[in-house]
Amino acid sequence: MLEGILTGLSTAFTPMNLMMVFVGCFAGTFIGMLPGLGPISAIALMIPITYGFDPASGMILMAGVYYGAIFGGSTSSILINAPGVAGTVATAFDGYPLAQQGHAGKALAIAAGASFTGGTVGAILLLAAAPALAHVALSFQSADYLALMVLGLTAVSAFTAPGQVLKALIATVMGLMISTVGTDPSAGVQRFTFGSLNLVDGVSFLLLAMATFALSEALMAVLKRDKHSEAAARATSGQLGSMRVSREEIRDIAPVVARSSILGFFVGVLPGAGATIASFLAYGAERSFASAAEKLKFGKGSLRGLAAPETANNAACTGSFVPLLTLGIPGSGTTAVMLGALISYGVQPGPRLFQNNPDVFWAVIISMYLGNIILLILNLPLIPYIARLLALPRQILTPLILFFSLIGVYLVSFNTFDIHMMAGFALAAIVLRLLEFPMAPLILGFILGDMIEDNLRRALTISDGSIAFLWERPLTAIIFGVTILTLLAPLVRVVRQRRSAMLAGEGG
Amino acid sequence: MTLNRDLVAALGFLAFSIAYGWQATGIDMFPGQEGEAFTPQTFPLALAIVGGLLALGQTVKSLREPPLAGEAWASYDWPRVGLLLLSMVAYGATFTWLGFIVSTTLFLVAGYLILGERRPLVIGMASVVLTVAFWALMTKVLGLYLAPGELFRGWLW
Repeated sequence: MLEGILTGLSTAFTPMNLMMVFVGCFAGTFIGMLPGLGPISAIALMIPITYGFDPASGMILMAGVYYGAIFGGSTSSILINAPGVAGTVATAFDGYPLAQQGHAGKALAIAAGASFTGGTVGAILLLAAAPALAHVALSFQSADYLALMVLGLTAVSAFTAPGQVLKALIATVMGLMISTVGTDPSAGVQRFTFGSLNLVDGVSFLLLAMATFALSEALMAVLKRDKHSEAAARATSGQLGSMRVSREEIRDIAPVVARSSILGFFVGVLPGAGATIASFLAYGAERSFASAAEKLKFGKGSLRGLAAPETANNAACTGSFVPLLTLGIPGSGTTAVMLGALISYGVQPGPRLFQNNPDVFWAVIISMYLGNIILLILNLPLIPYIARLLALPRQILTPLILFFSLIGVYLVSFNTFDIHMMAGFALAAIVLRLLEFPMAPLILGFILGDMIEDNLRRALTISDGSIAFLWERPLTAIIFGVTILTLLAPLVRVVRQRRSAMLAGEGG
Repeated sequence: MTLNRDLVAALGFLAFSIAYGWQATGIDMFPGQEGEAFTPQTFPLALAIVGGLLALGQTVKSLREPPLAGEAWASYDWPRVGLLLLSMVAYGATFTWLGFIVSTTLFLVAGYLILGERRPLVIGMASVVLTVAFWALMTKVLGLYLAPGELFRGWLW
């Protein structure tokens, strides 16, 4: 393991890769700040650039973009109350009131410090957890993998859209269906290509990710006549206030940060949960821990209320790399896009990544830590300048986002049919978003589709066509059991609510 | 009566699943493969069934609890989004013929105009200059090939 860490260190500390971390954090911060454009779009926009890189550099860049995007999201949450990322919605609860009271600088400094600590604790836990899990995962069979992937998809559906689980599951199935377009990987026959040569290779994941995230998010802002840039111009032209945080304040928030780091990491490891849930959980937990006097401050500019979600979302981002790197199963939309990128570099994530590409494995973990340092020492002072870019008028920014999304996909395939397909998928994504179908499960289903089919084929072939593989091994049975519980949990809640409503009705 | 959008979406997906499943039964197989435990049809057919069941579930759900009235779709800026989507289609259609520089410049200018930018200098800088800079970066620095334009073949080179 020490050898691996040293390999990772030497890979991560090459000038090229150090630059990647810096560029990634910077670009991520900028994209993450733009309301509507989240980390998935940020990463997707970066993929075409990284095609020529070696896998370690590519992943390092994207990990930097991921962190940067979350941090950028916090910045726009605090400054203009417009979270760029769902994971930073909870940040705005106390961050924006602080900014209104003239403490924007302090709020940003606390956000950066809390993110840094959360990310650091997360990276240390990842260092410990990932190799151990990778070791265990080597004994997994195809049935277990199938079960894990189905669990991942179900959990993402259950968590991304509470109350809309059916819609999220439908989106997942749509993603899986899109993944079957093209040449069948095992038999080599064409499926759903309608005789078109353009579809023989299937739909590229980059195309789908760009169309359903970057393009549709940019177009949704036009559709909803989003006028954020004026608010941004106002916020960024004003003074941010001092960035100093007093010693008492640090002492006050330190235990919050410690608790939220650990909570965030473990929530991040769970498939489907991720940064958004981690940040809300941490916020809720801290509010219930707080004294009666402190509780009143929550929502009105409490430093604890700001530190908790900021710490947790970064720790969760790190945690979400555990299933990606060790099992090859992404637990969130963002890590799903990263998985797609890794596969396109020719790297197969999973327990063998640890053995076959130790440089990639360790370099990513180490550069995550580097990314956190860079965010703290370089990005924080640059925030006032990056924020000024936010004031770039929407009518200039949107066509540029459209252009970079389209050309990014074109530069990979050199096929103009892809541009038409993107327009089609973007329109479909807009309609689905308006109908409240979440997009993250769709992209996750799409990316896992091939792997699910492959593992299903193996499991079915091994068990001679019988579905007994579902319960033959205790591990498989347990994972499927958890999947069913995840699906039933929302139902139980609905039934309980109905019953209590009925009881209340009878009592009254 | 307001239209129950969730119901329409659910029925739409039901129809889609049925069409998908019907298409899946037509996927080619090698002779003798029909009896195997897993064929190229297995996974798509399974998906069609799961999709159909989910769509039915959503249909029942949206009949029992109609969604709260959301924002009116009519209030959205559909014309602009439609024009932007059309300009994307046109960009794809003209790319090979006009070449990267001309088609990209036109696409960006169209985008700025659609979104209400009217200052000629801004439009010019953010389209021509940007396109040429991007083209130079891609072709001269990174060595990528970008379509020069079939239309100009013969009289420009």
